[in-house]
Amino acid sequence: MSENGAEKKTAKTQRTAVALRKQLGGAPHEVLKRNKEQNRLRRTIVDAMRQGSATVPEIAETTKLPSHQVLWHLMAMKKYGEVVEGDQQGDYFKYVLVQKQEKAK
Amino acid sequence: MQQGKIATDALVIGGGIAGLQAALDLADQGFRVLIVEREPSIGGKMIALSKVFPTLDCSSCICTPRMAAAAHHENISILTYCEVQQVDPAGDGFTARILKKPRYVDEVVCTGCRLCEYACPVNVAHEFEGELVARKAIYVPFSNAIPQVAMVDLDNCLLCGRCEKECPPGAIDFFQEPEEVTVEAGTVIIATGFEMTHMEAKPEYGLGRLRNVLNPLQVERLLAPHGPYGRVLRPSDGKVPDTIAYIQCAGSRDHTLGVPYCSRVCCMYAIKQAMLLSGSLPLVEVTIYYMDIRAFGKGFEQFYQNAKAMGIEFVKAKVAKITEDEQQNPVVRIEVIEEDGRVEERAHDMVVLSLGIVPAGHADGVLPASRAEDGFFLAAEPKLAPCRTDHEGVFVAGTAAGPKDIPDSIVEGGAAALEAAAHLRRNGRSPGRDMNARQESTQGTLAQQAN
Repeated sequence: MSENGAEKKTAKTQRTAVALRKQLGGAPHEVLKRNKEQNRLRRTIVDAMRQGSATVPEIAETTKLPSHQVLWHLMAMKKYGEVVEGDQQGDYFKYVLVQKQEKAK
Repeated sequence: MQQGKIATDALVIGGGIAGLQAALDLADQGFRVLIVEREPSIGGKMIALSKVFPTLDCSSCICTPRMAAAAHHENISILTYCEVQQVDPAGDGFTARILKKPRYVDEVVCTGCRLCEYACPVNVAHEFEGELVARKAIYVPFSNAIPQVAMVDLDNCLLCGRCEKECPPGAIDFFQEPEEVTVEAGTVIIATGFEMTHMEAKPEYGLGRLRNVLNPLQVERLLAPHGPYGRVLRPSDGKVPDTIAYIQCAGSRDHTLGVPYCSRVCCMYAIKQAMLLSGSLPLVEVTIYYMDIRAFGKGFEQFYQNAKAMGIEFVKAKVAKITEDEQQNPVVRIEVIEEDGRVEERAHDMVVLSLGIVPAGHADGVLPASRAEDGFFLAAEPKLAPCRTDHEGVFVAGTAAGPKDIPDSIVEGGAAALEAAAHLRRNGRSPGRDMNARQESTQGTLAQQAN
């Protein structure tokens, strides 16, 4: 690593986000609450998908979540490589969880 | 707040296709140009479109090279994510006050690798994708954004610091501050673009309330190969739609919305989208409910006839309201004008409202040019000099002057550049002068962009 690169790395460890959080007395309550709820929904969807591939209505039925929310989270997971699209079943596509080992490759 | 100063020949407000064309035409003549863009990337609305009518050329393939040409042009500087606060006449030119908002990412250091985005745990509705999919609280605005630089959405950030930990060059700085930039320019070109009609005044059409009623920019993203779903699905449940309807004049020619004029592009973009949907979903039935089809431009009538020949159904009918059945299918209530005038209700899997064009941009008095009654910038001599405003040295291009399509916006961008160049020459500014000596930016970002 060059000298400049080393300086950058040192600067990086200062973590301005953490410093700002301390200065503000914590992250905004609303953001924390929203994120907690999103994580709960995401976990519910992931748990339902562990059984195998499923369509949006199937996941919505298993999880009792509204189908639009299931789709929104699935598409976010697809975008960031956590889910892939499978075969089409009638009017719907199936979605499959990407295994962690596979992701690591 | 940090402060900077830039001197330039021309200030172009807006980095959409009209502003880019104006900037490139001026810069190619040797004039120094500064483009100021309110969004985090240049490209305007065009960069979000899938294809353009009537040729069905890839929109991104036309727009991206223009964006890159402007970004790499030695006579063009670009400031993105900025707010023009005030432009005032000063001597034979203008002084502009511009607020450069913080991205919380160093634009010079960031490589656009997106490792920060993958590390971020927060999901937020992505505005560029019509909110149909998520982005992260730190994100590169879209895949071909220029500049290809990440930014932090501080309103949705947990301040967890994971992005900073992952960032290889250490570009993230949560203490970055806004910068006030003063620009001295010899001429101003307004290319502030448009917004789609605001539909709050038309709750009976259900936009924002019914999940399968979409606006046309959302459909552009659905049709884009790298769009939110990677294919056309409906947002309520991911179903591949079998029947799709378009409601024409949904945001134009309607006094209740304050938009009495025709928006000029809605008929053609609806036909274009209908043809593209038929191409990507071979079994889909597309119906267009219309009052009149206005196919006035070069190749437009043939495009309309081709759509009819492809099997797209055109029904002359006025839509009164849109409701939803138990399967979340939008149900349109129509009067079938060309038959017996009967009232019918028809269910579709998805409905698209062909929204109109309304002016975007700044509050009155911020820019030194008057607006017409419809809110668009006034052309002082609409027949002889359509790009001239009522203030000498201030020109207008593209949809800032009124609804128009992409070719007309590009033509106006070129025309505004020509008028601006003539104005600069009249005031003794010749192209090709070295402006570097006059630039006194205090921040590295600005210094690099202006050099």
